[in-house]
Amino acid sequence: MGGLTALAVPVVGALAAGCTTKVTPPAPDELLPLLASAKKDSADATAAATAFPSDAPTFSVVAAVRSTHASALAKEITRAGGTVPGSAGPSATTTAPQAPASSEADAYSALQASLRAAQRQAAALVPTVPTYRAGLLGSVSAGCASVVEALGG
Amino acid sequence: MSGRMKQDTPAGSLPADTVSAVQDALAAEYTLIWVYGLCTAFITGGADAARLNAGMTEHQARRDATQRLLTGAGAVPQTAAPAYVVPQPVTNTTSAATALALAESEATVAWRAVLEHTDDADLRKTALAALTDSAVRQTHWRRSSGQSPSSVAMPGLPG
Repeated sequence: MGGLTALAVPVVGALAAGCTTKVTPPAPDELLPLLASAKKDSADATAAATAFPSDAPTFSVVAAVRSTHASALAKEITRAGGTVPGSAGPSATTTAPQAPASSEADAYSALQASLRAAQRQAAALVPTVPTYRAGLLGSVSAGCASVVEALGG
Repeated sequence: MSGRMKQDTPAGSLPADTVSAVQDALAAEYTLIWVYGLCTAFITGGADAARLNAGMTEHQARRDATQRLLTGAGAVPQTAAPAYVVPQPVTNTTSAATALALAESEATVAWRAVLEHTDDADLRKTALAALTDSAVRQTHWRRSSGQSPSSVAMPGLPG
């Protein structure tokens, strides 16, 4: 009996270890938060273009730039073997759309703040990502800074 | 020999392909400084003249820093050409802004290439700062010259 108990423990331990290794999910791609904010900016800018038709061209530029960023980030995440949240419906990581801005000025300042945050978000990863991602994130970060400039600084 | 290397970047620490990319970025800065100098004759007043001066100062500082970086890595910085060719003649404020936007655009490509040719975190930060600065200035000059949209979605992406 004593021998049997002693034998059982290592077997259970080995099984547990095997299980742990098996079920550990791969770390989520570090670009996913960047993708989520690009999608959100694009959606917010599109909403602002509808709400304030007189400034629609400007808001549409923001929407187009951030949509380009979202596509480029999604492409890279997919290339690396990751899964991109479905584009058919709202993504799981995206919060509910914020209430429309009450004025154009509010819409501008909200977008500018979001773009500055996105610039920093991409820049923070640039020093450590693999080289093939460094150029992509550098362009995304610089693209956000450019749109802020285009909106008037 | 190594005792004379007193830059913060250890001598010879950059691989050859990194050095090559940084040399290209230095060449882009030389071009920019030349184009900014050319355009001072055409952009003489208002906010754009202030932006012109600020851009010239910024790019001169970046040129100097890039030369130091190369020297510190044991490389010999390439020298500037005496003059550069602009694709369209610069004859007035608008064509000056167009030439500035193009030169800034070429610098974004060169600095993005540095990002793609180094694992050195400090050099990546330097290259990102240069890429971002040129992208913002490119946007300004595109707007000044009436190009639409003024901002580029992916600055530094060739083509």
